[in-house]
Amino acid sequence: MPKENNASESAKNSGFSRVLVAVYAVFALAASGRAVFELFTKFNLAPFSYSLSAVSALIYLVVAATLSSKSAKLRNIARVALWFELVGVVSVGTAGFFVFELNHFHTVWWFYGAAYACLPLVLPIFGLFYLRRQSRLAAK
Amino acid sequence: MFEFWYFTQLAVAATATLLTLVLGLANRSPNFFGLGSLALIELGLIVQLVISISVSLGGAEASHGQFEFFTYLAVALLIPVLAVFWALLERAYWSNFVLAVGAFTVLVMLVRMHTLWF
Repeated sequence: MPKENNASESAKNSGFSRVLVAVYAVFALAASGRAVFELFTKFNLAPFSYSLSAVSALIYLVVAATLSSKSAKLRNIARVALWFELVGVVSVGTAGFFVFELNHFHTVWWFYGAAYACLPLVLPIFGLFYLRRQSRLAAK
Repeated sequence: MFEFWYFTQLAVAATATLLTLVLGLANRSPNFFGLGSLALIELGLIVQLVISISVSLGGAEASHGQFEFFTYLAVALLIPVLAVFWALLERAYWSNFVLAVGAFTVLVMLVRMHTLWF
């Protein structure tokens, strides 16, 4: 494959990551606002759900900060956070059918993130896909 | 929060989202129209802030949380500014998508602010 082509593909991929970072920044903002509000006003109602909100806020912050980094170490942190997010949203979404607290008091990940247009479920998949491509392009 | 102004803002934010998406798909670098549409959103939000403060001083209140309403408004005011800065720093076609994310975020926040107020 000619080198130029590879470079433009890499640029395209990194542009994609910037857009992902922008979306993650919005989610970090929304989730931390939500978590801080919940922790201070009604934490006793559903400590588990609201702690989960705080955890998801933290994950979004980490991903926003590390995803499009040039350092492979930071990108590995992003990879771990994205997997955590994916497993979290799937398990919390599924647990919502059985666990009263999770069903009644919404977390960001309630019902697979349906309150956020299911983006919490889709975003980590995009993120992991990007990281995979990025490491493949770097290996070339 | 005047309802007429709210709908105007919704229209502006929706148009800006679509416009920046189209500009991005057309591989343009962020231009006058894309950046300008975000500036329009910001202007609308400033007017919203003035309206909200003055009706609040007049005794009106958001029916579901005055504090939350103004928090949303304050954060919404930051978003177009950040998105435009980002697009000016990295003038690549995909910055249009960052602008689109910003415009759409404001759109969603406006809908939320509307539910908080009424």
